Amino acid sequence: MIKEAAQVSSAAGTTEYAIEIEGMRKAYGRTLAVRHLSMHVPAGSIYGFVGPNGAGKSTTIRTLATLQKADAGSVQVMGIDIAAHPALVRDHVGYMPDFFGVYDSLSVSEYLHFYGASHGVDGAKRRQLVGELLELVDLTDKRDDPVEALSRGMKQRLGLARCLIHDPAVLLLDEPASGMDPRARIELREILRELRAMDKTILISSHILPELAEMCTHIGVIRAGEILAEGPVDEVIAALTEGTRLHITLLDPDGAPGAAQALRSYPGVNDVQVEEGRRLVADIEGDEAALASLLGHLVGLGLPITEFRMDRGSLEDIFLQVVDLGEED
Amino acid sequence: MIRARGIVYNSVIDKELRTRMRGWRSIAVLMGYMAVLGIIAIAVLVQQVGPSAAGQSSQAGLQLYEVLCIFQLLLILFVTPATTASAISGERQRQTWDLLRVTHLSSFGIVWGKLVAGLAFNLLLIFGSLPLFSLVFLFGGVAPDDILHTYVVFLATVLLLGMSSLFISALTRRVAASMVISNIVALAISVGIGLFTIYLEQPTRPQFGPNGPIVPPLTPLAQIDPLIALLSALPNTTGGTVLDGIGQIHHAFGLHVTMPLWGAFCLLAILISAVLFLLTAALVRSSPRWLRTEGT
Repeated sequence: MIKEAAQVSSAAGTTEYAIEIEGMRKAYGRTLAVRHLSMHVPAGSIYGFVGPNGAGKSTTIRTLATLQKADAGSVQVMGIDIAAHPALVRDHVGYMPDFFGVYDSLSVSEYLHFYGASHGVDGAKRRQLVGELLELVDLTDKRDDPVEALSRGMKQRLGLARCLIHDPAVLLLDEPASGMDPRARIELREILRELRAMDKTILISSHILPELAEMCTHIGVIRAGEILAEGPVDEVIAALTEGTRLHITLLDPDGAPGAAQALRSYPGVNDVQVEEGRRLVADIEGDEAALASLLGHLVGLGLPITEFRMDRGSLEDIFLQVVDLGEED
Repeated sequence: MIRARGIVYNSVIDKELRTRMRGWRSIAVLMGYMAVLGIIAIAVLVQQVGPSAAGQSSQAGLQLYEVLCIFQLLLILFVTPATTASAISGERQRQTWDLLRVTHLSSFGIVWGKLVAGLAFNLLLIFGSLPLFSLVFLFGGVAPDDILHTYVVFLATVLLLGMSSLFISALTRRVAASMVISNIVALAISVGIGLFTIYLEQPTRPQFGPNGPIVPPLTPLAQIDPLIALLSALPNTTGGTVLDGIGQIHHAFGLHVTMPLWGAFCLLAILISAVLFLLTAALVRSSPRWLRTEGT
């Protein structure tokens, strides 16, 4: 058993994907929470998990945290099968739920020491880790304060330190920024960047989409228990948004009708609208070469263009699209 | 040294003892407990004031001892559920349960830690009352063996009630629910079974044998009643016990053995507690969805 555990443990860290799920299914009674989910989180990435409420994000994260078992499919963390070796997986996973539980009468450092000891981190190493983590989350001066007296933002940071106490390679963060004020969110973002620099793989679900787009390297879009798309952020956005929105500003409003006419007659350009006199918005199909060609065409017509900007859409667009699709279903 | 997987002492015990013993509440409960027993002891002694003939002193000591024992058991009936019924439901209520389950602690480790920490405070109360109990030696009438027997009954009672409260705690999401159910269970297995036993002992037609009236044996259910077990361990003035003959059982666990009823109670308490321990650990391991408090 020990030999087997050592073999499994040595396999950890050699995989391309820190998290690999194939065909996972999970039902609660008659309710199907996760239908047939396959996702791949590259090692060292910050992976944003996007989807509407009830899509199956928390169920997936709880399964990865070994809090529940999948009904079917394969779930691996750092190359270790969760169903076969849940205890080993816990070595590699730090889990932060979307709520923060506190113990009365425990100080900040006692709180971390308790979880460190519960993870089997022994004395001297634990003391060192507690000090380093308090510094990372900027709570060193609060180390003797009772946990219950901390602000929500501080508690979230302490929660992050808690899930790092056994130095896991993978962090599972379920809505870590919920209820945080803008400053606390910025602090959290900075901490996550530091963690990425420390080669941690971070799976983060959040409804605060602009922040996800800014901090994530990869995203997975989930709806009704299935992944709709996943991969590098730009690629997923490009794949899920229909075409590119083009913003053009002219020097002179008088040229707007002519520019609109020229755009409408150009192949691949749809839905041209004139806004605020000298501004035009249009949808265009095609890649960057098509855009460059269009710009050359407009300049060739002698139109005085001061702004030519493409907007490939955002996570919000994707999120709304996914929600709309869900409602249509 | 604190070890997550320590067999005897783990991080849960360490944390629980640290938080339970911290603050004014534990001291207040300890002082209140001693105050109640102290006032009862004084009240019994005041009642005994007056010229005493030979033998009356030992009778006073015996009476003091019996009253103290019964009140200590009644206190245990209330204090033990209060200290263990919130152990797991409290973790769920304050949303720390999942955080504990993703650590290296096994389900056995968690349940063991909760049990030991919950019982530790009860042991402190019981052994803290020993000086009061030693008052009876000033009067005589009670042998050290008698105190040993009754303390074994106290410990078995604490184990049985503590483990059953912990099991109820694992079955509930809210502290209030586990507290109420645990107290009802504690009263049911002590006072409830006691009353039921008395009801069964009322013969519709008295039977007489060659040596006088025949006293039927107590119902087997009485063997899990801590109150009846205590009465079977308390000495009387004739050198026997309060329950005398009916405090002995002759068929225990399917075997023809004779043992005092309190002995059978202690064995049953250990057996039932062991089964409840395993069931609680299984509940902790599986953590059914209906026991979850947070969203999906």
